[in-house]
Amino acid sequence: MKGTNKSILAWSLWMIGGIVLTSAGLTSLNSNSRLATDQNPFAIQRSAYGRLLARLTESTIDRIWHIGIEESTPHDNGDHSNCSHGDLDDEEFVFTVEDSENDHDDHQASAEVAHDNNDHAAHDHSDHSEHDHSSVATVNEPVIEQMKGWFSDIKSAKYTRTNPYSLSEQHRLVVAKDIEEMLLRSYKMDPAHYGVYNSYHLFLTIHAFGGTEKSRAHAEVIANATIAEVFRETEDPEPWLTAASAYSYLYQFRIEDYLVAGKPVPIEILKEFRAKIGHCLQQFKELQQAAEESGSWANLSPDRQYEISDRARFALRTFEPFDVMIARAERRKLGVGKMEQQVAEMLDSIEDL
Amino acid sequence: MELYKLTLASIVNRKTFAIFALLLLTLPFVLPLMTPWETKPTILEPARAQAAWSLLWMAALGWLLFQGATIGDKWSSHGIFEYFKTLGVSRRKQITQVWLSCFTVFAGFAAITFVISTFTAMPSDSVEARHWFMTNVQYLLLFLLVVAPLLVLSISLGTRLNGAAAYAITIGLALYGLFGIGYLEVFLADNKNPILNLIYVISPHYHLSDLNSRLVFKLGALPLAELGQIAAYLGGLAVLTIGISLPLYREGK
Repeated sequence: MKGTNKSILAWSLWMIGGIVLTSAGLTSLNSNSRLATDQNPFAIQRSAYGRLLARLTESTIDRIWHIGIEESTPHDNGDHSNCSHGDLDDEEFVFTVEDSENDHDDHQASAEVAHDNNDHAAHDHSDHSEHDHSSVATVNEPVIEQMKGWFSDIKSAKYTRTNPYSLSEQHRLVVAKDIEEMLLRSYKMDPAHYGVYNSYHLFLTIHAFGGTEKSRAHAEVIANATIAEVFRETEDPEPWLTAASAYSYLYQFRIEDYLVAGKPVPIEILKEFRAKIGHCLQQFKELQQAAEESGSWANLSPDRQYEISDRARFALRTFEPFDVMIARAERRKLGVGKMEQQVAEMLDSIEDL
Repeated sequence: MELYKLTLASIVNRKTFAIFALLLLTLPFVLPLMTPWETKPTILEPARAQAAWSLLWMAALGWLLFQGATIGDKWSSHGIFEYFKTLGVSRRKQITQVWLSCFTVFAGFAAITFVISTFTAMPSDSVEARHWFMTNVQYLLLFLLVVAPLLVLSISLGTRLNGAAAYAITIGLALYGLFGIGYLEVFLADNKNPILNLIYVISPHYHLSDLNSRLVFKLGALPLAELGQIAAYLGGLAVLTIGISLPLYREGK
């Protein structure tokens, strides 16, 4: 009995010691706000594995995106064998995330006009090799490729709509929410990833896909977060193209009011963004050259090299008009000055008379 | 130490430890090569350390706690603990010996991870290298403060429940402390409910021992004051977990 009491006492003291120790640690951690999690278990986000996951989600986002867009085009109904997304005559409006990465011409070139969703009809779908499974191609393919194609088809079949009616509004919202969650998750994994960032931005800003004024404000925050992330990059050239893209979106936000009011964009804004985007492209160029010299560029597959070069070409194309626009704005400014001077001279001469 | 030897021989005989040892040895070198490192080779080394520690966590959650729960269950069901009781081995000594046998193998796992993370991913800059070494030592300390008492709990629960239930409870607690609290935090961001906030405060904040961020983003070693606070907190939790585990332990079913 005595022994039992002794062991209970020892146990109680042990537990009290534990409680005191835990409470002391808890109090000090809480007062320093160190108790909160960083919402990034095992540092997966923004790590090498985060970069991998962000890249892997690209095709999934593309696949799911299709379901949401089915409302405007029942292209997945029925037989898929004759369907080629590479067909430019296809007048159906199909927007894919891959398109958003590979062919932004319509989005950005039309930045100075209101965004018209019908522009997307002209998107080049020729890159869409994943879905381009024509019967001619499959006959000459090796058996293993045909089997791979079969799995690809069967995966598409999982999402094929056989219901002749369009998606219900509720289902459309669910799909939109799913896509947004997936995009956000991918974005957190790698905020500097070109494809993921651009897809997320477009999703937030295009009204037809659920973008609202609030989400557009969020897009600005996202753009700045991406730029901040990229500015830490000193090795990989591609994120600098993402930053250039983010700046061009911020530029579009800044000039929207002027465009709506039909006023010319102030030269200061043009110069500011020429400097910012120019800096990003310069950084890309320098890092790309450094990568070539160090041999790390050669580590990339030819497809990836082509993809990055293509993105760089596109970024350069959208950057080039800045010089012209600034020159035009300067002429306009100079022209207005001259006119004012002429008017003043005329008034003086009238007064002299 | 007969119980220790018997349990260790049983673990070695099961051979599942060899699978985990192989994975811990090879995957930290293989997984980083699967990432898009081509134009950024400097991410390879932090990715190696990250893989090594993440795999050690998986080994702890997937192997160590399971071993504890099943051995606790089997030894108590088969009368082994009763037998050692008749030989005069006290409850506390029994649980210590079983814990030590599981931990002997796991110490090897931890050593593999520590060596890979510290010496195959060390930054070349001498200041960063010193921080890197210290961070790994700190990580090992905090990791053991979480895992070691959870093993005691799984053994004790195994002696009382069946192995699967004991493992489920222990791993559930570990996963809650590592990941679940993050979700609760988001939920409580704008919630002033005192009960829910109390649950948050008294929850085991095992996530404090996850120093992967410090390694991956090369944040440097934890300041000593902060390390002391976290170690005191996790040490206190360890004391409480062991304190709860001891009365749960019983020799026979």
